[in-house]
Amino acid sequence: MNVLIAVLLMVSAISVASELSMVIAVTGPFQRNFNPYFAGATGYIAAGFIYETLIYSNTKTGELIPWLASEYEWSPDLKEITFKLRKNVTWSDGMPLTAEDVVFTFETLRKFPALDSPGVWKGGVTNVQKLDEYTVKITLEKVNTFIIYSIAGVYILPKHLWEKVEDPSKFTNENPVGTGAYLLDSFSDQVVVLKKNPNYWNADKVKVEKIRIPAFSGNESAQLAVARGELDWAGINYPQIERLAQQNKDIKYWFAEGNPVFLFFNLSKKPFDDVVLRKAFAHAIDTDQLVKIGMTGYAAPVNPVVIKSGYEYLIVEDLKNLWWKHDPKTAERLFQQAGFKKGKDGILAKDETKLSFDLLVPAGWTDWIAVCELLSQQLRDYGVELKVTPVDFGQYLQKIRNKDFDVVLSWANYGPTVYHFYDNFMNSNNAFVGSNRGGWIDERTDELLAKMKQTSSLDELKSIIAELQKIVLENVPAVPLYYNPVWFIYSTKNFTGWPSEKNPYVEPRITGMDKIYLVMHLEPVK
Amino acid sequence: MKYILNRLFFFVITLFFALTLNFVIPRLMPGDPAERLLMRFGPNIDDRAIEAMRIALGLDKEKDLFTQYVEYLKNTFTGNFGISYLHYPVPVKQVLASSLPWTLGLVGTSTIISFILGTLLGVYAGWRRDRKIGSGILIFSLCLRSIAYFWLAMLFLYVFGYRLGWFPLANAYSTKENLYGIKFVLSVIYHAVLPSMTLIVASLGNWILTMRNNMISVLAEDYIILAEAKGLDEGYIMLRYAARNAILPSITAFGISLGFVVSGALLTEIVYSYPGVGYQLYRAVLSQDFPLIQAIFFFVSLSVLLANLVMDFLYAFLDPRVRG
Repeated sequence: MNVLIAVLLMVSAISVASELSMVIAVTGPFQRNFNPYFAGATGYIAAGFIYETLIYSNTKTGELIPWLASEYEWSPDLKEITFKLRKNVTWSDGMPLTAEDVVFTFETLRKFPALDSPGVWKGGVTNVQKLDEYTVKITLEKVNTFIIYSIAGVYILPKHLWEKVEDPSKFTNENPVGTGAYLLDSFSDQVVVLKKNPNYWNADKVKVEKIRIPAFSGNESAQLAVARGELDWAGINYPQIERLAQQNKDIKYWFAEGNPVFLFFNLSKKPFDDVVLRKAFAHAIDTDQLVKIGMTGYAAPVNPVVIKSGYEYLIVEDLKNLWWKHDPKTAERLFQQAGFKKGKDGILAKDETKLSFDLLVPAGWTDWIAVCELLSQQLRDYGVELKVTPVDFGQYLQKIRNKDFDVVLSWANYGPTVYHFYDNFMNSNNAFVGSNRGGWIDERTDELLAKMKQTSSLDELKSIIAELQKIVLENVPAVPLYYNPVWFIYSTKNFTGWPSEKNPYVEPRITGMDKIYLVMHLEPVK
Repeated sequence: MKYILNRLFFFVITLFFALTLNFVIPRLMPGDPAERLLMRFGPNIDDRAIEAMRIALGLDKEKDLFTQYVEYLKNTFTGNFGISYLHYPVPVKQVLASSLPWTLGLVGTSTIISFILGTLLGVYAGWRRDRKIGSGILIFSLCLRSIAYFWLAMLFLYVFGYRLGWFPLANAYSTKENLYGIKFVLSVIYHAVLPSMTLIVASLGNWILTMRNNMISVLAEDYIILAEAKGLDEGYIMLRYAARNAILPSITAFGISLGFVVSGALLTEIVYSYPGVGYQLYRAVLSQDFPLIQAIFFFVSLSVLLANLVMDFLYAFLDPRVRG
């Protein structure tokens, strides 16, 4: 037996230098699909590593970084954008990248709306035109400065190959040809290997020769692989990671601020149409405890105006006196002010309305359920009964959409910038169906949001955001609790240059262009 | 002959019912596949992506249930299972082709080994039921049967994989380098050791108990006493007289287990990150991937029913009383 094990151990010898191993997501065996427009493990590999966008929008810093386009320019009336392409970019089969490819890609997204996940055509693009071999002009129906972020999600496809594809929305693209820094080296359902593209237009910046991406089906095996130091980059959760980091000095972690999580109220019905009651909730909740115990310390705290670090310059100091914080006395006073008194059962009530509700949360999201249990405990002291009710995820979204709830723990999409966040969170178009889950519907808010998309002046944006902050603080459409963490565990054994809390140059997400931007910052350890 | 026709008739009827249930049940789940698909990314979902996904899956156009049902039956019988929602745009056929062989190899082999080992131990435990060894095996198998097997899987993974480092932690073959030929085969076997050990140990108890109980009832028969009286060799009586007659119920159970092999071994596959049908089915159900759920259930129902049919025929051959 021992001999057999020894032989078998030799068979599985360890890896080559300058090879990065990462886990993209715990999604099981890979399927051979390199269509960058479809989410999923290999779709993510294609997006960023193999296919690239005209510009890269860095969610963490808010920067727009020229990528396949070396520069772009808005027309003075903000209704046209002209992109100048780099001239030294070739597809991995040797053909040059030209304006034809860009026009073709946008046209494909128009013909096959299933591919338009960035939402460029729905965002108001009316025409994409080739001006010369290396110049493309995009025309908009009406001013929408946000469209640039949608364009930053469009992966450029090679016309000479994809024009032969009958239906690109059903195309698995098994042998990808892209402009990206990596080529597909080998594929199997258990591991995908990428190798550096020697003819890459920005090849000097790429120091990682190979990327090895093994498949994992369960958290257990992925976590043990992290513990054994077999992975350089893992975007998975890991209980008590701080203990592992103490044992193994190479292993580090950073939980970047992901999407904010809120306690949403159903604003369309009693009793939560009353702002005083909502304010009482905001003061009653101890968010520090939620983060520390519910999220075991792995979530970042959030401020009442939900402005992430990096955008502090948008915070209005004069409004800080309206910021709420955990304050039991004020909370009790506000509950009284709203007219609620404790009944015989110890539960606050006013006329026929009792403050006793089902608190909805997706079943199986264990950390969120723990947060709900804590919320329920915290509010019980004030005489509010929240019955934690985990529901199946499909049903959960359906109930919100049908306004069939009182309070729900849910998230809002932050998007690439704080401006997108306010639009997602407060636009009446998104009421109940999108990130505006509580249904905040207000004319002035919608006006401000519309104005926000029609300007490129920072001063004007600042004043709009200031007014929106005031609306949030005065009306408490929902109570922000914390930022859900973007899990990021990395090892400094083979590579340095990782982003961290001290050097947050990128949000370490595996989904889009962020990962190639990150990989370009890595240096192999000699 | 009448018996065979009778069985065939039942086979066709049951298959049809299974197919229909297979269509109806997944559709009773609440929610929308496009949303569920994106749920695995947790609270980092983009609303626009959901919209595009819905168009891709054809969910933006309403189709009534009857049209869907007719399409489903047609697809099933032509062997075209459509495009998987979960792995969109990968066809269901391709998903199955990449997971079925692993499941058949791992679960099939484990079931056979476990059956042979368990039955032999059961024969011996029944034969020696009054001795220490007999009760030893009995207690051992009762213990095995009460262990939760996913717990066993995690224990093995932690002890033999992580602590001792004898076996790999995940995957069906080495993902650290690309292997070919005999090295690849060795790597596959090496990676299959822990998961198959889990499966064998977990099901061993049942085989032992079934066989032991059968043995005990057969051992009370007159012909055994006669054989002993004739002074036949002990081993000969145990195997040729007792075990041979006692094995029939075990064979039936074995047949059905073989039928279920196709459905995979979900928890083992998850714990060891082993590619297989069980895991695909689990994820398909979570994301309401109707085409994939239907295809997997189709193969599971088909193989279980076929296994039953074969067992029925085999019974007729093994036991003349059934034919009458």
